[in-house]
Amino acid sequence: MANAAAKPAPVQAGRRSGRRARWAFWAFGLGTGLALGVALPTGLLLLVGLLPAAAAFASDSDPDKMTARPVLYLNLAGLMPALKALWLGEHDLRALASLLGDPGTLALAYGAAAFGFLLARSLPYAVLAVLEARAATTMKLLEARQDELRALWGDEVVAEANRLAARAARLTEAKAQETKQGGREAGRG
Amino acid sequence: MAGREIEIAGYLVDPGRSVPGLVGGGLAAFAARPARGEGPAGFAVRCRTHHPPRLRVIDRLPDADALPNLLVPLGHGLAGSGEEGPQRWIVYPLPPGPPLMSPGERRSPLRETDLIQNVAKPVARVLAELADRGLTHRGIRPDNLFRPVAGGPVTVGEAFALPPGFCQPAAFEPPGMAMCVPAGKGEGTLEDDLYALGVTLLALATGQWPLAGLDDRAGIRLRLERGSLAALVGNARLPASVATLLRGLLSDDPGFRPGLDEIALWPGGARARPYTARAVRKATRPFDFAGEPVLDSRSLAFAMAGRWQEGVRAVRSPALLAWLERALTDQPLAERVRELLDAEPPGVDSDGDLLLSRILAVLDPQAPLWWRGLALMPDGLGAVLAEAYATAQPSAERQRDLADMIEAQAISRYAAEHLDRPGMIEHDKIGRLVRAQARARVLGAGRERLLYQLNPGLPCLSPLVRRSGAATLPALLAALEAAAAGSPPGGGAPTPLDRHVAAFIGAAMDGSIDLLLAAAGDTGRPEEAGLATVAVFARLQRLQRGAKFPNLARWVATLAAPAVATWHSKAARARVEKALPEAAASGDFAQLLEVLDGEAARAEDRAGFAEAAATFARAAAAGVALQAEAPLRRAEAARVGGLAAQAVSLTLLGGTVLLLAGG
Repeated sequence: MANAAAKPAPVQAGRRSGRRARWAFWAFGLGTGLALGVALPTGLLLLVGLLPAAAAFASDSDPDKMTARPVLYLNLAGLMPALKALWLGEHDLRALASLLGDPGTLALAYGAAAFGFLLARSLPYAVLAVLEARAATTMKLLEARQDELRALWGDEVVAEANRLAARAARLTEAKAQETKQGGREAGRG
Repeated sequence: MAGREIEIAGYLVDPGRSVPGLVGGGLAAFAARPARGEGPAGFAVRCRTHHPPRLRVIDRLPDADALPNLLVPLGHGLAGSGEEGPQRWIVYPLPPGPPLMSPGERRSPLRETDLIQNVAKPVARVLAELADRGLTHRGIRPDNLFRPVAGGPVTVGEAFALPPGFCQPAAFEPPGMAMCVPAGKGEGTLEDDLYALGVTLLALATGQWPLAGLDDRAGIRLRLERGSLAALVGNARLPASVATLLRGLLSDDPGFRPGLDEIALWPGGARARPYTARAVRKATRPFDFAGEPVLDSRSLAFAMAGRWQEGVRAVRSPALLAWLERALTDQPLAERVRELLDAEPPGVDSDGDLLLSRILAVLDPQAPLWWRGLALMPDGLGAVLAEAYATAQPSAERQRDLADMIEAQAISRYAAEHLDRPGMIEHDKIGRLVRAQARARVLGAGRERLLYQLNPGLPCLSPLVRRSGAATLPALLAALEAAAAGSPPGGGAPTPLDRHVAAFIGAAMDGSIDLLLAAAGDTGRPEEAGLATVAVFARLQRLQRGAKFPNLARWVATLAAPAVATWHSKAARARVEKALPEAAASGDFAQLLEVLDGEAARAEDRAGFAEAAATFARAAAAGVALQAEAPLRRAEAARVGGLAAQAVSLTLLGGTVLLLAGG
């Protein structure tokens, strides 16, 4: 009964994420269609210029796309100058070709995307380093407190602490057994 | 002893002036005079350590005014020094004249009126006064009755400086009592005093010491075979009323002896018909015991008791039962003996000591408790133990015999055969308690405790203090203080609280600190034992307001040093170690105990330790949790890092848009 009750939740979550993906796919498709239909040069520029972002989205297995999003945003940022030049100048294919022919255009876009990728990859490690450093400091403080207690009370305090911990573990075990027992009995009832 | 006077109970005693003829049992008496003011002179008796005086009886005696015909002690106390240390002295008033008759003396017989009015009646009055208080005299005999040369009623002499009946010659005791060792007769009964009065009257009526020329064993044997009256009186011619009186007083059946009221009114109060002594039941043929022919059960019991190993063999042989049934024709007796023989479990009491002891009690219901040739009354055990342990040269064999007797519960078995006698139910219970106490091994209990419990006033026999003769707690503490002053303390003894000291204290404190004493003897836990030792002496010192014992405290403090480790906090241990020498030097055990085990400080130490342990445990648990949370930290870092990357990139995008829009 409990297992049967547990099953629907991941199934529902899976259905939700599948629905979302289909919406995203159709939204992207619609958006692309509109962009190409209404503004072909812009669309083509976006198509070529956002290739790194597309690759990042395709390869990012994280459901929240933690790596792909920064790549997208910075890829877009790198493409902005080209988009501005296209929109403010001749918005035609010749202008597009001229832009795409300029190596700097794609270099900026692709470089920004690469920067976004690096950012997405490195920031978690930086955060981890901070968290680990804090944990290490806390650990040092705890150890220092224990050393202080040992200095004041001798090694007997360690033995007594172990005894207390063992007793607490036994109590926890006993409580867990009781809960399990209670659950089984409730199930039978 | 030096001629210097010593003061006892307000009297000055001159140990250089002995006074003969006033006390028996080998004790010495010395002249005494009031220490202050005028008053009549007296004499003082110096008691022996291993034959304890009857202090409990002395404390219950009435004033001399209530008993004008008795030498009532004027006081007692410990004094003197020497090889044995202080001795117990008892001071008495001087008797009014010489004794009526000396041991073995021949003199002219007293007249009937004199005997009745001036001997029998005054003695009966004394016995009545004592009986009203539940006491016996146990020293009625001609050489212990005094009166002026001119005549008049006698004054009964002392009988309290030695165990009861100690000085009584065998002839003046009922046969059963005469069999006992002098120290083992117990308090006895009024009937024993009446028997002694009877023999005394006979001696004074005939002018000669009864059974003179016979040793004690032969005298007892004669009385058993012929009956006391026939054996003692023989063919002596006596005045009619004296003869009637003696027939009652010398009856071997205590129930036949006249009461004190009858004697007080004698001859007017005499029963209408004279008492008849019950004839001794004789067998049709003798029982041959070790070549000795015996015709009655009491004589047989006495003979077997005197030759113990042969007695054990005899009771186990079928010849005894056959003789009891066919020759003595005493079926109930034979049946009872058979029951005891059948009840002997195989393998237990293989020496046959308990079996013989029980059968002797059955063969002679008036006999004392017999054990390997030693005879005593159950309430004489205390004095016999004192004799065995406190004498200058203790006998290991006697000590072992007594220990075996106690272990075999011989006292209870003896009492069980005599439940019809007064006090025997109590003796049955005491026999069991005595064995339980003797078996106990904890400090403060055991045979040593038994010794002091049964002999209040017995000095402590510990080698540490024996020479001091300490018989009270204050004296014991002073003696221990002196012993502790030696180098090494106590002459190298491991503790001042040895088995004798602890037992002495336990008995004196009436069991109120038995638990502390037991803890002090727990060698498996030296820290607790040390603390308990300090606590014992603190309790004793409280009774001695103001007295300090620095040497003893220093000695005990070294024993209690392991107790420092019982403190949890290192700071507390250091504090205790620092304060210990000063506390010990003060000689105040309460202060020492406060340093070692102060209640408030202990509570604080315990609470602090508990808190410290809990904090340590929490820190350990937190450390474990921190290590366990590493995956959580990695997941969090990924999430936060991802979000941060998104935020930065969005910010850069926004900034780029703004920049391009502005430019």
